[in-house]
Amino acid sequence: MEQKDNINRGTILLNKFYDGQTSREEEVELYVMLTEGQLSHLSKSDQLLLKLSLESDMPQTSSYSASDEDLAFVEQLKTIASPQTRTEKDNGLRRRLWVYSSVIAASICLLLICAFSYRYYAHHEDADTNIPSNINGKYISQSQVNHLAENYLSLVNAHLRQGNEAIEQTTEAFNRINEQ
Amino acid sequence: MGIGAIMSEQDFIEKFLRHKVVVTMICRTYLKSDILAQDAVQEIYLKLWLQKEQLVEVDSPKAYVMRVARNYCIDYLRKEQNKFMLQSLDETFPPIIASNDLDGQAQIEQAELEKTLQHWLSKIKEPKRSVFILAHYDHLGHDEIADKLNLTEVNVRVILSRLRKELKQELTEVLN
Repeated sequence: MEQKDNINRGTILLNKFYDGQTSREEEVELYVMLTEGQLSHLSKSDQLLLKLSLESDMPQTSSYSASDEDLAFVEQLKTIASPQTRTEKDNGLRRRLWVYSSVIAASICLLLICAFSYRYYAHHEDADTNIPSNINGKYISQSQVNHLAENYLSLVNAHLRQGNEAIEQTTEAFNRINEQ
Repeated sequence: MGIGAIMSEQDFIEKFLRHKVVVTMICRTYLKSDILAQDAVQEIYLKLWLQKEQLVEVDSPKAYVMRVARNYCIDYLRKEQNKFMLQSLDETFPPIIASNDLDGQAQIEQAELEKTLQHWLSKIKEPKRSVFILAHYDHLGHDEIADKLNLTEVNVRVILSRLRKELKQELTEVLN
Protein backbone atom coordinates (compact mmCIF):
# COMPACT_ATOMS: atom_id res chain seq x y z
CA MET A 1 0.00 0.00 0.00
CA GLU A 2 2.77 2.37 1.03
CA GLN A 3 4.75 1.41 -2.05
CA LYS A 4 1.75 2.18 -4.26
CA ASP A 5 1.33 5.56 -2.56
CA ASN A 6 4.99 6.33 -3.18
CA ILE A 7 4.68 5.40 -6.84
CA ASN A 8 1.63 7.64 -7.22
CA ARG A 9 3.27 10.50 -5.33
CA GLY A 10 6.46 10.14 -7.39
CA THR A 11 4.54 10.19 -10.66
CA ILE A 12 2.50 13.24 -9.64
CA LEU A 13 5.62 15.12 -8.57
CA LEU A 14 7.49 14.18 -11.74
CA ASN A 15 4.65 15.47 -13.92
CA LYS A 16 4.63 18.70 -11.94
CA PHE A 17 8.41 18.88 -12.33
CA TYR A 18 8.15 18.62 -16.13
CA ASP A 19 5.48 21.32 -16.07
CA GLY A 20 7.75 23.62 -14.05
CA GLN A 21 5.21 23.62 -11.23
CA THR A 22 7.15 22.02 -8.39
CA SER A 23 8.14 24.01 -5.33
CA ARG A 24 11.67 23.73 -3.95
CA GLU A 25 10.40 21.45 -1.18
CA GLU A 26 8.74 19.15 -3.70
CA GLU A 27 11.93 18.97 -5.74
CA VAL A 28 13.86 17.94 -2.63
CA GLU A 29 11.14 15.38 -1.90
CA LEU A 30 11.67 13.98 -5.40
CA TYR A 31 15.41 13.87 -4.77
CA VAL A 32 14.91 12.01 -1.49
CA MET A 33 12.51 9.56 -3.14
CA LEU A 34 15.04 9.02 -5.92
CA THR A 35 17.95 8.36 -3.55
CA GLU A 36 15.78 6.03 -1.46
CA GLY A 37 14.98 3.95 -4.55
CA GLN A 38 11.29 4.85 -4.47
CA LEU A 39 11.31 6.03 -8.09
CA SER A 40 12.63 2.85 -9.65
CA HIS A 41 9.42 2.61 -11.69
CA LEU A 42 10.48 5.70 -13.66
CA SER A 43 12.45 5.49 -16.90
CA LYS A 44 16.24 5.73 -16.69
CA SER A 45 16.20 9.10 -18.44
CA ASP A 46 13.70 10.50 -15.90
CA GLN A 47 15.85 9.30 -13.02
CA LEU A 48 19.01 10.70 -14.59
CA LEU A 49 17.36 14.01 -15.31
CA LEU A 50 16.38 14.38 -11.66
CA LYS A 51 19.76 13.30 -10.38
CA LEU A 52 21.76 15.49 -12.73
CA SER A 53 19.63 18.58 -12.44
CA LEU A 54 19.33 18.49 -8.65
CA GLU A 55 22.80 17.26 -7.72
CA SER A 56 25.26 18.49 -10.33
CA ASP A 57 27.53 21.44 -10.01
CA MET A 58 26.81 24.04 -12.66
CA PRO A 59 28.56 27.15 -13.91
CA GLN A 60 27.59 29.97 -11.58
CA THR A 61 25.42 32.75 -12.87
CA SER A 62 27.17 35.20 -10.55
CA SER A 63 29.72 34.87 -7.77
CA TYR A 64 28.14 33.82 -4.51
CA SER A 65 28.31 36.54 -1.91
CA ALA A 66 28.09 35.38 1.67
CA SER A 67 25.09 36.76 3.53
CA ASP A 68 25.24 38.05 7.10
CA GLU A 69 23.46 34.85 8.08
CA ASP A 70 26.23 32.75 6.44
CA LEU A 71 28.93 34.71 8.25
CA ALA A 72 27.12 34.41 11.59
CA PHE A 73 26.71 30.67 11.01
CA VAL A 74 30.43 30.26 10.31
CA GLU A 75 31.25 32.22 13.48
CA GLN A 76 28.95 29.87 15.38
CA LEU A 77 30.73 26.86 13.89
CA LYS A 78 34.09 28.31 14.85
CA THR A 79 32.94 28.83 18.43
CA ILE A 80 31.59 25.30 18.74
CA ALA A 81 34.69 23.88 17.07
CA SER A 82 37.12 25.80 19.28
CA PRO A 83 39.15 23.54 21.61
CA GLN A 84 37.92 25.45 24.69
CA THR A 85 34.22 24.91 23.89
CA ARG A 86 34.84 21.29 23.01
CA THR A 87 36.76 20.69 26.25
CA GLU A 88 33.96 22.31 28.25
CA LYS A 89 31.44 20.15 26.44
CA ASP A 90 33.51 17.01 27.02
CA ASN A 91 33.93 17.89 30.70
CA GLY A 92 30.18 18.38 31.01
CA LEU A 93 29.58 14.97 29.44
CA ARG A 94 32.21 13.40 31.68
CA ARG A 95 30.59 14.93 34.77
CA ARG A 96 27.19 13.65 33.71
CA LEU A 97 28.59 10.18 33.08
CA TRP A 98 30.15 10.16 36.55
CA VAL A 99 26.86 11.19 38.13
CA TYR A 100 24.94 8.48 36.22
CA SER A 101 27.56 5.85 37.06
CA SER A 102 27.50 6.78 40.75
CA VAL A 103 23.70 6.69 40.91
CA ILE A 104 23.61 3.26 39.26
CA ALA A 105 26.36 1.89 41.50
CA ALA A 106 24.54 3.19 44.61
CA SER A 107 21.27 1.66 43.37
CA ILE A 108 22.93 -1.74 42.86
CA CYS A 109 24.37 -1.63 46.40
CA LEU A 110 20.99 -0.65 47.85
CA LEU A 111 19.24 -3.43 45.98
CA LEU A 112 21.77 -6.00 47.10
CA ILE A 113 21.32 -4.88 50.72
CA CYS A 114 17.53 -5.10 50.33
CA ALA A 115 17.80 -8.54 48.74
CA PHE A 116 20.04 -9.90 51.50
CA SER A 117 17.90 -8.35 54.23
CA TYR A 118 14.80 -9.81 52.66
CA ARG A 119 16.30 -13.28 52.42
CA TYR A 120 17.48 -13.01 56.05
CA TYR A 121 14.02 -12.02 57.34
CA ALA A 122 12.31 -14.56 55.12
CA HIS A 123 14.26 -17.33 56.87
CA HIS A 124 13.82 -15.84 60.36
CA GLU A 125 10.23 -14.70 60.10
CA ASP A 126 8.26 -14.16 63.22
CA ALA A 127 4.80 -15.66 63.19
CA ASP A 128 3.28 -12.48 64.75
CA THR A 129 4.47 -10.26 61.92
CA ASN A 130 3.49 -12.63 59.10
CA ILE A 131 0.95 -10.65 57.03
CA PRO A 132 -0.86 -12.74 54.36
CA SER A 133 0.03 -11.79 50.75
CA ASN A 134 -2.14 -12.07 47.67
CA ILE A 135 -2.15 -11.47 43.91
CA ASN A 136 -5.40 -10.14 42.47
CA GLY A 137 -7.19 -11.14 45.67
CA LYS A 138 -5.86 -14.72 45.57
CA TYR A 139 -3.81 -15.79 48.56
CA ILE A 140 -0.19 -16.79 47.87
CA SER A 141 2.13 -18.51 50.26
CA GLN A 142 5.16 -16.83 51.81
CA SER A 143 7.50 -19.09 49.81
CA GLN A 144 5.83 -17.93 46.58
CA VAL A 145 6.20 -14.30 47.72
CA ASN A 146 9.87 -14.87 48.43
CA HIS A 147 10.37 -16.55 45.09
CA LEU A 148 8.64 -13.74 43.13
CA ALA A 149 10.48 -11.01 45.03
CA GLU A 150 13.79 -12.69 44.35
CA ASN A 151 13.00 -12.98 40.66
CA TYR A 152 12.04 -9.32 40.36
CA LEU A 153 15.06 -8.14 42.30
CA SER A 154 17.34 -10.24 40.09
CA LEU A 155 15.69 -8.73 37.02
CA VAL A 156 16.19 -5.16 38.30
CA ASN A 157 19.75 -6.02 39.22
CA ALA A 158 20.45 -7.41 35.74
CA HIS A 159 19.05 -4.27 34.08
CA LEU A 160 21.07 -2.00 36.32
CA ARG A 161 24.21 -3.96 35.52
CA GLN A 162 23.39 -3.68 31.82
CA GLY A 163 22.96 0.09 32.22
CA ASN A 164 26.26 0.32 34.02
CA GLU A 165 28.00 -1.61 31.24
CA ALA A 166 26.48 0.71 28.65
CA ILE A 167 27.79 3.72 30.55
CA GLU A 168 31.24 2.18 30.74
CA GLN A 169 31.18 1.57 26.98
CA THR A 170 30.06 5.17 26.39
CA THR A 171 32.86 6.48 28.59
CA GLU A 172 35.39 4.40 26.69
CA ALA A 173 34.03 5.68 23.37
CA PHE A 174 34.27 9.29 24.58
CA ASN A 175 37.82 8.67 25.67
CA ARG A 176 38.63 7.29 22.24
CA ILE A 177 37.02 10.32 20.57
CA ASN A 178 39.02 12.67 22.78
CA GLU A 179 42.24 10.83 22.00
CA GLN A 180 41.68 11.15 18.22
CA MET B 1 43.09 22.12 -5.91
CA GLY B 2 45.77 19.59 -5.20
CA ILE B 3 46.80 17.73 -2.10
CA GLY B 4 47.94 20.02 0.69
CA ALA B 5 45.77 22.90 -0.56
CA ILE B 6 44.02 24.92 2.11
CA MET B 7 40.32 25.60 2.15
CA SER B 8 39.69 29.17 3.20
CA GLU B 9 36.58 30.32 5.01
CA GLN B 10 35.44 31.96 1.77
CA ASP B 11 35.89 28.69 -0.18
CA PHE B 12 33.95 26.83 2.48
CA ILE B 13 31.07 29.29 2.21
CA GLU B 14 31.08 29.35 -1.60
CA LYS B 15 31.33 25.63 -2.12
CA PHE B 16 29.52 24.08 0.84
CA LEU B 17 27.62 26.59 2.94
CA ARG B 18 25.82 28.01 -0.11
CA HIS B 19 23.88 24.72 -0.22
CA LYS B 20 22.61 25.13 3.34
CA VAL B 21 19.06 25.71 2.10
CA VAL B 22 18.89 22.43 0.23
CA VAL B 23 20.63 20.61 3.10
CA THR B 24 17.99 22.00 5.47
CA MET B 25 15.22 20.83 3.14
CA ILE B 26 16.70 17.34 2.89
CA CYS B 27 16.95 17.12 6.69
CA ARG B 28 13.39 18.40 7.09
CA THR B 29 12.11 15.85 4.57
CA TYR B 30 13.78 12.98 6.41
CA LEU B 31 13.34 14.09 10.01
CA LYS B 32 9.90 15.74 9.64
CA SER B 33 10.73 18.40 12.23
CA ASP B 34 12.12 21.92 11.83
CA ILE B 35 13.95 21.79 15.16
CA LEU B 36 15.58 18.43 14.45
CA ALA B 37 16.47 19.63 10.96
CA GLN B 38 18.16 22.77 12.33
CA ASP B 39 20.19 20.71 14.78
CA ALA B 40 21.11 18.28 12.02
CA VAL B 41 22.24 21.10 9.71
CA GLN B 42 24.46 22.53 12.44
CA GLU B 43 25.93 19.11 13.20
CA ILE B 44 26.55 18.36 9.50
CA TYR B 45 28.29 21.68 8.86
CA LEU B 46 30.27 21.42 12.08
CA LYS B 47 31.67 18.09 10.98
CA LEU B 48 32.39 19.48 7.51
CA TRP B 49 34.09 22.50 9.07
CA LEU B 50 36.25 20.30 11.30
CA GLN B 51 37.36 18.31 8.26
CA LYS B 52 37.52 21.18 5.82
CA GLU B 53 41.14 20.50 4.88
CA GLN B 54 40.04 17.17 3.38
CA LEU B 55 37.18 18.81 1.50
CA VAL B 56 39.52 20.45 -1.03
CA GLU B 57 39.62 17.05 -2.74
CA VAL B 58 35.85 16.94 -3.27
CA ASP B 59 35.03 17.27 -6.98
CA SER B 60 31.34 17.93 -6.72
CA PRO B 61 30.61 19.85 -3.50
CA LYS B 62 26.87 20.05 -3.99
CA ALA B 63 26.41 16.32 -4.60
CA TYR B 64 28.78 15.62 -1.72
CA VAL B 65 27.01 17.81 0.82
CA MET B 66 23.62 16.42 -0.24
CA ARG B 67 24.90 12.88 0.24
CA VAL B 68 26.35 13.73 3.65
CA ALA B 69 22.97 15.20 4.68
CA ARG B 70 21.17 12.06 3.55
CA ASN B 71 23.62 9.78 5.34
CA TYR B 72 23.40 11.84 8.52
CA CYS B 73 19.58 11.71 8.56
CA ILE B 74 19.41 7.99 7.82
CA ASP B 75 21.94 7.34 10.55
CA TYR B 76 20.02 9.55 12.98
CA LEU B 77 16.75 7.75 12.25
CA ARG B 78 18.43 4.36 12.60
CA LYS B 79 19.85 5.42 15.96
CA GLU B 80 16.43 6.58 17.12
CA GLN B 81 14.97 3.24 16.10
CA ASN B 82 17.66 1.32 17.98
CA LYS B 83 17.79 3.66 20.94
CA PHE B 84 17.20 0.92 23.46
CA MET B 85 19.51 -1.58 21.86
CA LEU B 86 23.01 -1.31 23.20
CA GLN B 87 25.38 -0.36 20.41
CA SER B 88 28.89 0.93 20.42
CA LEU B 89 29.31 4.54 19.31
CA ASP B 90 31.68 3.44 16.57
CA GLU B 91 28.76 1.86 14.75
CA THR B 92 26.42 4.79 15.14
CA PHE B 93 28.82 7.58 14.11
CA PRO B 94 30.03 6.84 10.61
CA PRO B 95 32.83 8.99 9.24
CA ILE B 96 31.43 12.22 7.81
CA ILE B 97 33.50 11.81 4.65
CA ALA B 98 31.13 9.47 2.89
CA SER B 99 32.87 6.88 0.81
CA ASN B 100 32.18 7.17 -2.86
CA ASP B 101 29.56 4.52 -3.44
CA LEU B 102 30.08 4.37 -7.18
CA ASP B 103 32.38 1.79 -8.69
CA GLY B 104 34.87 2.64 -11.45
CA GLN B 105 32.53 2.02 -14.38
CA ALA B 106 29.67 3.93 -12.76
CA GLN B 107 32.02 6.85 -12.05
CA ILE B 108 32.97 7.02 -15.73
CA GLU B 109 29.31 6.94 -16.75
CA GLN B 110 28.50 9.63 -14.21
CA ALA B 111 31.32 11.83 -15.53
CA GLU B 112 30.05 11.33 -19.10
CA LEU B 113 26.55 12.35 -18.10
CA GLU B 114 27.85 15.39 -16.24
CA LYS B 115 29.68 16.35 -19.44
CA THR B 116 26.46 15.92 -21.42
CA LEU B 117 24.69 18.24 -18.99
CA GLN B 118 27.45 20.87 -19.18
CA HIS B 119 27.52 20.67 -22.98
CA TRP B 120 23.75 20.95 -23.21
CA LEU B 121 23.78 23.91 -20.81
CA SER B 122 26.44 25.70 -22.84
CA LYS B 123 24.09 25.65 -25.85
CA ILE B 124 21.19 27.24 -23.96
CA LYS B 125 20.76 30.97 -24.44
CA GLU B 126 20.20 33.56 -21.75
CA PRO B 127 18.06 34.12 -19.76
CA LYS B 128 16.93 30.47 -20.02
CA ARG B 129 20.32 29.19 -18.95
CA SER B 130 20.29 31.35 -15.82
CA VAL B 131 16.74 30.25 -15.02
CA PHE B 132 17.82 26.61 -15.16
CA ILE B 133 20.93 27.15 -13.02
CA LEU B 134 19.21 29.35 -10.44
CA ALA B 135 16.37 26.86 -10.08
CA HIS B 136 18.48 23.71 -9.86
CA TYR B 137 21.90 24.65 -8.59
CA ASP B 138 20.97 27.55 -6.32
CA HIS B 139 17.53 26.19 -5.43
CA LEU B 140 15.88 29.58 -5.70
CA GLY B 141 12.10 29.80 -5.76
CA HIS B 142 10.30 30.86 -8.93
CA ASP B 143 9.54 34.27 -7.43
CA GLU B 144 13.19 34.87 -6.56
CA ILE B 145 14.34 33.86 -10.05
CA ALA B 146 11.72 36.11 -11.62
CA ASP B 147 12.91 39.04 -9.46
CA LYS B 148 16.54 38.41 -10.24
CA LEU B 149 16.11 38.12 -14.01
CA ASN B 150 13.24 40.57 -14.50
CA LEU B 151 10.85 37.89 -15.68
CA THR B 152 7.38 36.92 -14.56
CA GLU B 153 6.83 33.77 -12.52
CA VAL B 154 4.82 32.33 -15.40
CA ASN B 155 7.81 32.89 -17.73
CA VAL B 156 10.04 31.07 -15.25
CA ARG B 157 7.69 28.10 -15.06
CA VAL B 158 7.35 27.88 -18.84
CA ILE B 159 11.12 28.10 -19.38
CA LEU B 160 11.79 25.44 -16.74
CA SER B 161 9.17 23.14 -18.21
CA ARG B 162 10.62 23.40 -21.74
CA LEU B 163 14.22 23.00 -20.60
CA ARG B 164 13.48 19.95 -18.48
CA LYS B 165 11.69 18.26 -21.37
CA GLU B 166 14.58 19.17 -23.72
CA LEU B 167 17.12 17.76 -21.29
CA LYS B 168 15.14 14.56 -20.96
CA GLN B 169 15.19 14.24 -24.76
CA GLU B 170 18.96 14.81 -24.77
CA LEU B 171 19.52 12.21 -22.06
CA THR B 172 17.29 9.67 -23.82
CA GLU B 173 19.40 10.08 -26.98
CA VAL B 174 22.63 9.64 -25.00
CA LEU B 175 21.30 6.52 -23.31
CA ASN B 176 20.21 5.02 -26.63
